[in-house]
Amino acid sequence: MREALLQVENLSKHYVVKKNLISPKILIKAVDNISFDIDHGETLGLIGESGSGKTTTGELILRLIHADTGRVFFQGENVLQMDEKNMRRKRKDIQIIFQQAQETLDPKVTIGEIIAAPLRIYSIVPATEIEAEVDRLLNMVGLTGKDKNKYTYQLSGGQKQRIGIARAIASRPKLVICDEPVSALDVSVQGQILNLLIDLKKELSLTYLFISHDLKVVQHICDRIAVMFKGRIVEMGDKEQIMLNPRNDYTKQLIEAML
Amino acid sequence: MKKKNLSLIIGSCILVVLIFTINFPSLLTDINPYTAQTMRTWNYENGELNLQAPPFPPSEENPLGTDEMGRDILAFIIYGTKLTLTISIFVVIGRFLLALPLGVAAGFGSYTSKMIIEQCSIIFTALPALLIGVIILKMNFFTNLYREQSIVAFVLVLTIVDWAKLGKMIMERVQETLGKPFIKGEIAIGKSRLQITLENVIPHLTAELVILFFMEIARVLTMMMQFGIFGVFVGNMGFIADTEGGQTTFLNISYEPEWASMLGSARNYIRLAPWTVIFPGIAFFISILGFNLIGEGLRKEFQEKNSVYLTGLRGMLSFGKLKLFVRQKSTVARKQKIYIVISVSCAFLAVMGIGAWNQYSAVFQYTDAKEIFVHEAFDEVLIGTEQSKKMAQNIGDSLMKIGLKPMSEKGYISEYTTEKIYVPTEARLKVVSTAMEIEEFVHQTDFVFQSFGNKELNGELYDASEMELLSTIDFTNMKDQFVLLDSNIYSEKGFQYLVKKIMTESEVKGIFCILPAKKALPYPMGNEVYNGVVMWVTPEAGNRLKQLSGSDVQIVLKSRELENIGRNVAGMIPGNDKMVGEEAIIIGIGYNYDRNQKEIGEKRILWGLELARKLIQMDQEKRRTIIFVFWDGTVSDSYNGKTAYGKQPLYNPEKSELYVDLTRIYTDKGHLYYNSRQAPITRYFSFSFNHQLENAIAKRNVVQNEYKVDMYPGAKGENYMDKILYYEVNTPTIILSMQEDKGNTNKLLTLDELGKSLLETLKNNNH
Repeated sequence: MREALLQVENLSKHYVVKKNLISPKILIKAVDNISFDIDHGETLGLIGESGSGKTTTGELILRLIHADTGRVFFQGENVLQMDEKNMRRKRKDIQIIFQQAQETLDPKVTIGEIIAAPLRIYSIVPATEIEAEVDRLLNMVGLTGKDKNKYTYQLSGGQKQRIGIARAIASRPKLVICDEPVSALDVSVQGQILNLLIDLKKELSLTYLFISHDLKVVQHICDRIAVMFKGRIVEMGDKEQIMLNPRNDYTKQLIEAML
Repeated sequence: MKKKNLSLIIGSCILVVLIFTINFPSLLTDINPYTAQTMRTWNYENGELNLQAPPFPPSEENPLGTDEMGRDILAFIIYGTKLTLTISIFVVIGRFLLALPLGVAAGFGSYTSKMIIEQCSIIFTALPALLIGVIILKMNFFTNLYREQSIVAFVLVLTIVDWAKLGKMIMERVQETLGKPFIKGEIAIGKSRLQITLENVIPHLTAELVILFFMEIARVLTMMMQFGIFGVFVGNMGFIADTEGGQTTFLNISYEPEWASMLGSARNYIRLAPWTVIFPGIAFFISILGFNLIGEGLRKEFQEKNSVYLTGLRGMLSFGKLKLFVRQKSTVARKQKIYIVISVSCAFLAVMGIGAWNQYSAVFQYTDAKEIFVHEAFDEVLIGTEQSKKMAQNIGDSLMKIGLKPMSEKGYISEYTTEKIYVPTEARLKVVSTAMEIEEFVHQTDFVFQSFGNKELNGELYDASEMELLSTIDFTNMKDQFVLLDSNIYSEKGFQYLVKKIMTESEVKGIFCILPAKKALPYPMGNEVYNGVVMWVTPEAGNRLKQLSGSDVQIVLKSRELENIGRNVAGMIPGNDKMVGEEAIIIGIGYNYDRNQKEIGEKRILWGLELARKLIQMDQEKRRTIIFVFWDGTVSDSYNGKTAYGKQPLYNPEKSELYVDLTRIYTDKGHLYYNSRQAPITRYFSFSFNHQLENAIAKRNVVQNEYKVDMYPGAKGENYMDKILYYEVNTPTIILSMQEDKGNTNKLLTLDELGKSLLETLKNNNH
């Protein structure tokens, strides 16, 4: 068996919902028994409509929410069974870029501090070089060191997303989960951010799990694609195979809608 | 142009005024807040003595009137700002110290913390905090504490009683903040809980916490005001209302300047003397308003995203980011910079003002003076001897070290000439009875020589103790005999006259004088030289002698003459009050002691020095002059330094308001005799002082239980000499005498306790 960077096996997350006092309980299967794996340097696109469980999958892998069942192997270790301390250490290697940058960045902390935080936590660079490293990262994502003392509300949407990216790559991760990184942006900015992600991938030899509802974007960036529908992966394969020769009905609908 | 934030401006102004008051109370009033005036004027009308008693209404002297102890209300409010605000700020800090960790922990989901907060909240909602506070703090134990202890107790109770509300508020805000999406991001980059709390949650609460802090101060002040109305306040109750039937009740007013206590008398005085209640009420009103306005103003200010205050605050409160803050500050506008500088310096002043307390007299140990009093150990220090000269020098040096000023250019020591001084060097008395039995008497325990010279005499003992000899003209039958006389059947003057007459007119060998029952043997020192000898004998020895009538008395006496110069050592702490700074309180202590008093003699000096040192340390503003005099020659009435002072006072007698005589301290633990007959009601200050000293001693009496204090005048062992300042230079005199009480060993007044009482009174009534 080949050693993948990330292996997800039978991952599930169910929610019990009770609408009011007398209604019966409803079981919602947000993520239902999904399995996939990602190799080193590969980009897996996770695509599906809203509410299909893409984002939940990403957060389950990062343990931002707790999984019900399943296993997630990262470099051969099950992250779902790690204790808090080890998990915190592991987070250095798995990072996430959120969809809503302005909401996931603390509005009361300066940009310099946001980016410096992972550097401090993992002692990526010595304390004296943190400033320089922050400047370098900002340059990398197309900003300048001058922006360091600004707060997030002083930036545009695209700039905020760049900050989110800079923070994610600051700890020099191996795997980055991109959770719809461009869907909240203008089309013109979308392209810039996607190109930035592609450049960074080459430069830092990253692996992406790219979550999106937009097939065009996924097609642009991914090597393989997994299609999710109602918590399940209905189809998974190479980009060409999925785009040109879809087997599942839902996939077909998606591709048709794109065209 | 942005709309001005009026509430913040007004609130800040009030705060600045309060901080100024805390730091520089003496700039705002000339009056010492501790000064109590128990009486202002008196007059006779229709044959009745009428006293004008406090509370005095507002007048030129007391702009806002005085309270029922005659203390100036304006000064009391001004000096009370510090204690009142300190308490409220400490309470708020205490509440935050409790509420913040527990609130944050509960917000993070700690079950225990949540339970603690909720249970406390439930308990103190069901039982009003006011009620619990009043019940706890009204206990006797709390009302008699010293200032520092009282502050701690008060802060603890006020903190515990009402912190849960704050805790709950913080908990809810933390939960709210933790629900925000960016927390996910912080977890994702691997921050621990602690890091998230410190770096993300607390900065989000900063604004709210600062607002809460000011609002909470206002709330605590309100609560203290309510406590005050129920008669619960900081600052021990120092004034005794009544000691009827052994039960002591205190006046319900604070000894320390403080606002809440002034409201306590509302019930009794609101109609009679409304000024005692209204002005402290206004003080409370203004400061509560001030803190509320600041809270409100800050809330408005923080709503703006670019608020410079918020940036600064966050910078100051986020840990390890101070460097960043400094850098940020350089980018803010100059005007804003000035604001920051002003608020930082205000905060600094507030901290300084609250931190600096005058040394308080709660600790008094006369042994502490050992470090400043360097002296040779003498077995006895008697006027005219070399020891006395050295001792005077030593005491003078110590006074200088303590920081007292000399009374004249000549220095601390003022010399005076006395009559010739003789002391016996050898003294023996032996009686050989008719049955040839030898009975020995011990000098200074059984008898004492009162006339001197070098003599070896013997003769027959003649008992005249039951005869009245004043009318006798011819004493020839006493020739070559020793006569036994009983002074109890004569008047004092008459007896002196009689002894002199017998000694000069007859050829008697000697006179034994039986001492009056209450008197102690005087010290063998004097200037009389006769052909025969004069001796005092104790009543017991007198009885023995009576049995031996007709026996042969053998006497050996050798004496030497001392230098007839006495040295009083005096130093003063000059007064610094504009009005009464020149008026002086004189404290007199004897430094002579003989062999029998060696131990207490040294202690007495130490005690006096420590008293002086503590007074200097208290560093009181606005007080009278205090003079410490160490008298020479106190072992003998004839050479007593007080006589010299009476003839040639060191300080203007017209400005001498009081003399406290402490020469008759014969033990460091004993029975206190207290005579204030020479501090009459016509001398306001001394009368008032006496009243408070009595109070201070009686208070110790109550708190520590059952000292023996004799408040009745005319105590044991005192005589004309003690009151000489009153009779010669008309200085009112209070005499304190401590004597051994052999029947009672454990519950006795100690020197330290007496020292504390004196210090307290000097502090209290020295304006």
